[in-house]
Amino acid sequence: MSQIITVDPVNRIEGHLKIQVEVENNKVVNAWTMGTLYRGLEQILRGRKAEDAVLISQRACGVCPIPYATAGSKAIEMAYGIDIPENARILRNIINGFQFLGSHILHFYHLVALDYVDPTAVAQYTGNDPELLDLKSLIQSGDTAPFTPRWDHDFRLPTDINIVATKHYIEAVRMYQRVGEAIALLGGKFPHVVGIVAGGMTPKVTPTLVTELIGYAKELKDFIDTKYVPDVLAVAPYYIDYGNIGVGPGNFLAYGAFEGADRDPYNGLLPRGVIMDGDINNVQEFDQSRIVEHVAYSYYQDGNPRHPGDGVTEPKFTGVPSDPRRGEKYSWLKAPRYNTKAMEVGPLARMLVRQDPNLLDLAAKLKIGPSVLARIAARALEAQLIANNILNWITELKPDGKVPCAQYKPGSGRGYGLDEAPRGAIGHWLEAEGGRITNYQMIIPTGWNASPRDITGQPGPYEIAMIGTEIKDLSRPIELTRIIRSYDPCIACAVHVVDLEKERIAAKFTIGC
Amino acid sequence: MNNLSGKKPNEGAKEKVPILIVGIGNLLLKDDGFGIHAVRRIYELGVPEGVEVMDGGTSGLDLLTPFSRAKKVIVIDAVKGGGEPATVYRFSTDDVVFERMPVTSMHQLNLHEVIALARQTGNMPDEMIVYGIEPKAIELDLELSPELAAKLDKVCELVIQEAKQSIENG
Repeated sequence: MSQIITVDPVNRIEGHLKIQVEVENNKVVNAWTMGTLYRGLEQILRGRKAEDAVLISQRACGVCPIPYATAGSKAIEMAYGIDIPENARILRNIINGFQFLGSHILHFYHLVALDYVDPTAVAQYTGNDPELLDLKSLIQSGDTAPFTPRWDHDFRLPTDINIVATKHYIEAVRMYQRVGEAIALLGGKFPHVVGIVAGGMTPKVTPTLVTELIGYAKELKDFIDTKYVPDVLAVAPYYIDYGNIGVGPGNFLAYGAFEGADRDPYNGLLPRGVIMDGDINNVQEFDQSRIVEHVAYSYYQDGNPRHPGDGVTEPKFTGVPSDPRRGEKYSWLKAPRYNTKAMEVGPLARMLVRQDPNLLDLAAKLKIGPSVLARIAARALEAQLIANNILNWITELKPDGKVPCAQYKPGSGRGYGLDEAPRGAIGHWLEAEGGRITNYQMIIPTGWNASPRDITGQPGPYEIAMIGTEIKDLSRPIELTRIIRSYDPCIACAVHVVDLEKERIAAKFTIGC
Repeated sequence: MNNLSGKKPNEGAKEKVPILIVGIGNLLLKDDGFGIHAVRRIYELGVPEGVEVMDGGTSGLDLLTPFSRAKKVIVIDAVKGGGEPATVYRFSTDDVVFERMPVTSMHQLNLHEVIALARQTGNMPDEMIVYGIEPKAIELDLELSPELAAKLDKVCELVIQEAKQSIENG
């Protein structure tokens, strides 16, 4: 006898994501990922100046807007044939690099760690750290925000690790503030920036700017080297079973990011490439013409799978299925596929495409597969890699006091911008006529990972990762939230504009995740 | 979210803004957007000398730095306090027991959690006052309920008055 269990919403801090699974004898036999919000930025952009896409598309997300601005600018630059100055390329690497660091730190400490770390252990703290003592008294007085509500079981760490990680949780908030300040130096403000434009970047590259950036980069690098990475390594052994839980489709996609002076996306810090069918040491070339998006199970007008360059966005809400097994449409996300396959994107995909030796060594040492733990570890090691390189990029800048931005004339053309956001591959496809947008399509990272089924019935990566999972306590399926959160879901960027019902708000609190 | 400069937090009292007025809420969700309607109205009514006004939108963590840069923060938000729709509340965050703090949480990270984090990270201003209004309806709509719309000017005047008073009192 099978039963359906629902987790809604899945996310802490960000997001609007619901999952349903069918369970038989405590084992997941089927799974559905539902994006419960509609975005519609594509319609908003049509008819506007192409440059507006750089500003407006960022509004999809409040955590990672920088890659939206970057992908939008790249699409315009391709469509209009613009070559950006070298300082602009470097500044884009730096501002995106800071975005990755902020997002990865936020993800580990504030979105995912609370599934593993128990901050209420601070009640047993006996040391002299004033912040921990403050927190101890708050917890003892019963004020456990923002750590609760949660499912309070399966916490396995010894008290000292819980306390150290909680201390770093608080420091991580400050690191996130530093990231905001660094991004505001380059982008003018934070989180949504105005400093990235088609043609380049707008801040003048001065010696003062360089000095300030170095300060931020060093502070973040120090936190990552001495806290973030060690904390991940300290927690991992206690949850080693998660090294084989939540394995996805085995197909990985990275568009690549942080290009060098040769502007070759296959040769950047995070290179472009694909891995298919679990053959993780065989990195292949990527061909963007092999991307299509399906809508068979998505709330859009039915049609053949389309390449995003010719994509359409015609919403057609058909209701939330009373039972997901009925084969009805169930998500506001489309289902992107590469070479017909569901693809995992994100830090694990990028670090595997990079064949990053640190990650491969760690996976071999811990004997883990492309799992929950591997995703969390890949994110930390990627943050470390980027933090090391931001300092190099800053020293590459030529502080000539000029605004690094190319002049151009708006016109007509088609282009695409492929980049990486912290959560994975991000692509914008643009068609413009006389400087105005005639079509705009975005495939965002969580669109890949949280995609629903395609026309052949092939599930999306989250769905594949959940199927086969053993759930110990059906009333508190923490295994599922650990799987989904390991991908760092940000459904707020998958879809926007809200359709909230009272019942759903009530459910938000009663489920308490 | 607007008005965040690249300045570091905790740079000392000299750098601090005397009064920061922050409207919080989702403009798309009818009465939840009250705080945003209010800061827009305050811009129209005129921002007093020494006061900064910010549309905090649905920002969560991003509010910490602006909080840390102000001596006093006045938050305007929809608050479920159990009163009739459009009931106006004013309270200091020091006077509210956190667990029972009646702030509605349509935001990704609600005010309760942001304040908890601000306290834990040393980003609280010296004083934080909340002007809340009981929502009537939180649903997809750009307009406030008539009962709340009728109170908009009054709440804005109270907030401006308190801001001016605080500046006069140093």
